[in-house]
Amino acid sequence: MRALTDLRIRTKLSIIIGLTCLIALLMAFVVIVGYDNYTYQTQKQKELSAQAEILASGMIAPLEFDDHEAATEYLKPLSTNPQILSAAVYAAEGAIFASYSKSNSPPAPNAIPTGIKIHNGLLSVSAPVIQNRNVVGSVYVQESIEPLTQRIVRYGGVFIMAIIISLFITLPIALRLHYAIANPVYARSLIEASLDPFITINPQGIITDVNSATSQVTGVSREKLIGTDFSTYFTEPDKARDSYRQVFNEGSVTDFPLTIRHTDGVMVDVLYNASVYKDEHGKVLGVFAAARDVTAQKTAEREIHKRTAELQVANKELEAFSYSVSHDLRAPLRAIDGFSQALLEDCAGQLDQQGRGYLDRVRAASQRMGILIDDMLELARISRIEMQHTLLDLSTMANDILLELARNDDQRKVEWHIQPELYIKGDPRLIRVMMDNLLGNAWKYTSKQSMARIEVGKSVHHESDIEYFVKDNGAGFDMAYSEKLFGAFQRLHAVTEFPGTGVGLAIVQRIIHRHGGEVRGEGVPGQGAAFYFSLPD
Amino acid sequence: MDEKVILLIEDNPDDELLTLRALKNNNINAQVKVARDGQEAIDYFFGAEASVNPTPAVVLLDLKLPKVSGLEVLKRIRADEKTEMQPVVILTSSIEEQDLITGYQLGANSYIRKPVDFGQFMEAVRQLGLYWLVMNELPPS
Repeated sequence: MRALTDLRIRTKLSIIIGLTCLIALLMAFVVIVGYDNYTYQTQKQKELSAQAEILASGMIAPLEFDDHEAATEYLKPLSTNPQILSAAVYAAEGAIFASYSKSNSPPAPNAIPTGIKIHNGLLSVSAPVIQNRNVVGSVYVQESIEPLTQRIVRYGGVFIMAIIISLFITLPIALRLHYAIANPVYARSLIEASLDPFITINPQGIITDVNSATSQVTGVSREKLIGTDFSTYFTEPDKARDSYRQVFNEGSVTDFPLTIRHTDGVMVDVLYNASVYKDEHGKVLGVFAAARDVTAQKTAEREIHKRTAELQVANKELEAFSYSVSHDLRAPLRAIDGFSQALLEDCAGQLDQQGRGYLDRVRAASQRMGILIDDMLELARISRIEMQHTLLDLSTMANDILLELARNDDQRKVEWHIQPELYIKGDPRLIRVMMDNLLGNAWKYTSKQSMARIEVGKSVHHESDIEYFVKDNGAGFDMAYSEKLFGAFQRLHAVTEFPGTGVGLAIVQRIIHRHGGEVRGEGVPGQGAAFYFSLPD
Repeated sequence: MDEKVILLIEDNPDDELLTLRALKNNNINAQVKVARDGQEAIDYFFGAEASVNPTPAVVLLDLKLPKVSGLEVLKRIRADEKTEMQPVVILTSSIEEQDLITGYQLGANSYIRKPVDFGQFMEAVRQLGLYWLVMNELPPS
């Protein structure tokens, strides 16, 4: 029995159903075989007795007239019945009057047998020949009957077939049924398997079941928890009861924050998820609730809050720094430039050509530093600016920018091609700054081209992989230095060749990154450059 | 006609000298009074000698000042009914968005960023003087 209890429920059920079927069939087999054998024999006796009586009535005349031939003739039709082995007619004194026997069968006995006999699978019946109430002779018939063993063997075959068929039918049913039967046990082990506290509560708010995780988090044993009011284990019982009412009213609650109090005083922050469970008529039986320990999550949240605060402080410092850069660094530069100019104007007579040349250089350097400071501030501003996402018409924007560049530089002949209806999502100010820089670069680096050409469009690699581009046929760049392309204050051309501080592409990259996209550049020296950027939705 | 008065509120002596030079080079004939911090500026309008100080045609106001900030000075000027209509031009190195917004919110008449390039600075001062001293009509005192 112990071996059976250790088996899987599914196996147990199958064994039980199989054994029950087997026993039932075996009982049926014994009863049927017994009953059938009984009815078979009595039936055979009746049939044979009737046969004997018919023969007896037909033997009256042959016996009276002592006609042996007629009697023999009368017995002959018995050969049509293969089971009848022998038959005989006896005269009144007991001598055989006429007889019949099948070939290879023993002949009828010489003495007159009486009554009904069953012996060795043979049934023999005798009947008196009666005329005018006098017994004038008797008739004897012997028949072979099917022995019991043979019948058992025959029924056994049927029985085995029945077992096989019934197992074929009952086992799949057993397998299906096992889920329904085993589910309560299955659910119970599921509850126990969870590391989260699980409880079931009845409509009165009384705990009906808990798992061991609940015992651990409350410090109360399962036996003591069951039958008590669930709300008493929380720091705010009223709030716990509110959550419970909410489950009843709405069918479920999701992530309801509560705090469980352990008997040793430790508090555990949890999020409760609960839903009602019902019987087959839809009547609410209770609430099934699972708590998730979110102490670690809360700690992480506090950490994030702390980090965010630190970042905000750092940002404030950065803002103060850029304010001071914009104000305090520019003032001395203005003085350097201003007084160099004053020297050139007021003391020109005391300076020779070389001296004036040096002062020009001082002025040019201070002005350049002013521009660098402005670019640096612009880069910082790009990172700080608050973003708004709107649908933008990139085609129109690009056209506006190029028209403006053309207005300010009417000596240049530049042709441009913009793919129409390029709609993107982004911050209007930042995207404008980015396009100003990309198109400004294209304009600048094509300045030595007699037939300058600028192209704006998009290339679709996959459905979700779309890149927009700005191409030109200008000075281009060597791909060997492509890493430096987007670095702040990095330049691939001499200032004397093309002016600039090298902050434009850094701004472009920062804007694209702030939109969650990527930017890359392709170039061939002397043939042109192309900048591709993606803007995820 | 009386010589017009400009009140220059500026703590940096370099910027003070350059502004005066730019005014002179542009032939802007005005008497320039200088306040070297926020408190001096407030005293000009509300101090003991306020009654004898001439009303400026324009105040050129730097924002980053010792003691009292330029924006605070502007607030005080706008808060007093004697000076609430006084033309004030913010002339500063800062182009911080917040300074621009607060400056206009407090009622600045104009906001000009001092360029590093002295040539551009000269041009800015020239236009400023022409506009505020020649073109602009002051409110009746």
